[in-house]
Amino acid sequence: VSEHEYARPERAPVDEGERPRPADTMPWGPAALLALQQSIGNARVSRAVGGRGLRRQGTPAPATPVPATGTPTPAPMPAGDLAGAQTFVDHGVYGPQDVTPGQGNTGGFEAKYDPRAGQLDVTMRVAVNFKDSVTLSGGRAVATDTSQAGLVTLATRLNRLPRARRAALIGRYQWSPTEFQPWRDKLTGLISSKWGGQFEFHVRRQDWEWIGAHVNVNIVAHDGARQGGDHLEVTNYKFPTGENLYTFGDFSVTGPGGSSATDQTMTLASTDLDPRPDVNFLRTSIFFATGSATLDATGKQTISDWAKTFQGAPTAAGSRKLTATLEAHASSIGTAEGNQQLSQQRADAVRAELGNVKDSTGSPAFTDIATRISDDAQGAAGAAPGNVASDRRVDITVGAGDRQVLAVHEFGHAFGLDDEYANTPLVSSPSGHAVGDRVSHDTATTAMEDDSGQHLGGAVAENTDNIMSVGNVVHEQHYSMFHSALATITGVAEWALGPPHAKPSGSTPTPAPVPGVTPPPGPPPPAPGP
Amino acid sequence: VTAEIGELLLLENVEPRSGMVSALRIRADGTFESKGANREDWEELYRFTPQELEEVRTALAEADDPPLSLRYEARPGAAVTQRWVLETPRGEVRVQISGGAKVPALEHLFQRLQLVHDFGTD
Repeated sequence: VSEHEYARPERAPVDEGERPRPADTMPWGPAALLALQQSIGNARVSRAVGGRGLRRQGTPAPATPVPATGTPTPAPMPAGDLAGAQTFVDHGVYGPQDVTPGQGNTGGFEAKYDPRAGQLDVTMRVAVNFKDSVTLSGGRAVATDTSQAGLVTLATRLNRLPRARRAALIGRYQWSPTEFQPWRDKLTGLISSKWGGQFEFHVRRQDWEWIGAHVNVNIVAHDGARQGGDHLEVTNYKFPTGENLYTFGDFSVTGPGGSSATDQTMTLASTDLDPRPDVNFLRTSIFFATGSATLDATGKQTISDWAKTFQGAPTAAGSRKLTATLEAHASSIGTAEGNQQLSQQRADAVRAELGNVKDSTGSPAFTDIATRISDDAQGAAGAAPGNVASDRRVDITVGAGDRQVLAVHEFGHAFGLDDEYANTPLVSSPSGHAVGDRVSHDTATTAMEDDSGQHLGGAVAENTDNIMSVGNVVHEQHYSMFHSALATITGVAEWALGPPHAKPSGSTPTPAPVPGVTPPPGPPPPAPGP
Repeated sequence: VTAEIGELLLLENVEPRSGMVSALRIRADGTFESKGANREDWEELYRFTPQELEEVRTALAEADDPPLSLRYEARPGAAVTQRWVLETPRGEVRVQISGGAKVPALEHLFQRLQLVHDFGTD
């Protein structure tokens, strides 16, 4: 089956309007700061709250520092302050606090940081409405919700069937109460495992680098309508395996809500916890005639569309220049040696054609082929017996080539992230991003530093195997919302990617060990004087 | 949103940022069509008979009695905006619904229209 059909993945609207953030909500509020000032002095308190100095009560504060325009440079290192770091840890738990880290106060979850455990807990409380896709009314299948116009197509298909057959099939689109808990359990496990534990943070400030944050994502879900404190309400339509909302022209989508952390909405199909069945953007097949490595017009058009879809914006800061593999196949007729040679010739033909594709300006539509495209000529390995047309093909496979799991993508929106896919021949988003557009979490991404103090390049729209594009991979930029939340609730701005370092020697109590975190070998650098 | 001449009903569900649209329409000749978010063309679902079409017209008129408002909104930031265009005795009525608002007259119309056609399979 050709995977290169046109389809339009879901996306969520993002409010472009920048609203002021709530008043400084860091846990060291004015009263606590005053007490600290009195006990250890203004300068030390200032350093301990992130070197920001003290603000007047009610002054809006950005959650994360925004680098100046141009190439970001590492921030100057503040003076060492082991005592300040220890005070920060001794404060105990920061939060829990609801945050809306996305642009325009989108996204919404609860953040809590325990410095002793070195753990950031991201908790999203979710109400799940289990909704039948169609119901029976007088024996007739009827779509129930005006917001899902495509389900009228489903109802029509069912109504064309004899009544008994219709009655037998309709149960596939209706929930049984016994299915609720298993679905919720699968959701919570999926989102926790895919979004949690991917990256760690530490404080990139001298003598604070031993303070770390492992990210733990908790989804707490219940049945029924939204209750007070729920961050998200999911309407979950029932579908059998192999179908989803896109099958009938509808779409999975997340509504960002207003400015509150507790007003988001999401529409899912029950099958959105599994790889999407309707399309795989990351695997595109080119077919050949028997014994031939010559591309026909359809093959050339597909390669042209692929090149324009996946070129990306490789010169843009933050671009994740993708790589792809030409998985070349042959049918099982003929000799093994001949089929191996034929499959390699097919890969060569696709590679050569990729080099011929031009963009609208006449420039190569796909660049750096030598470094971005590799071959995997497989001969007739895995082919069905005989001369089967679907075996005479080359698959252009991006990354691992896995189908996207839509629920994981949609929860990225619920955390505050934008879409990263771009409107191109194979991925259509009529009024969405163009290739190379800076997406809404670009600013939060460039605010992040790596372990060396270099700011990340940002986040741009391009079709890749990223989770917020058309794949499944969670990258560093996708932790920008957690980074922002961490800065907000702790009042410390210098959280950087990477595991915590070893604590300087001669210091007092260390935080509890964090599972999976191994301090770097060798003695820590000596702590400079105050 | 613009209904084409000769349309009795148009319902569009629009995802504002991406521009994805899933839609339904009933044309004056009785053709009931859908257009999916991942399809370029309208797809005919079925065709109402002249008698069924009269029932459709009656349902549209009753949905607008009392008259519908131009705009309904429940809360900001919901995912989908609905746009309805109905041909009624008082002319073309355009309604925009956002924020997940439910309009009982239109919810009822949506259900009722799906029960008008005889598929010959019951």
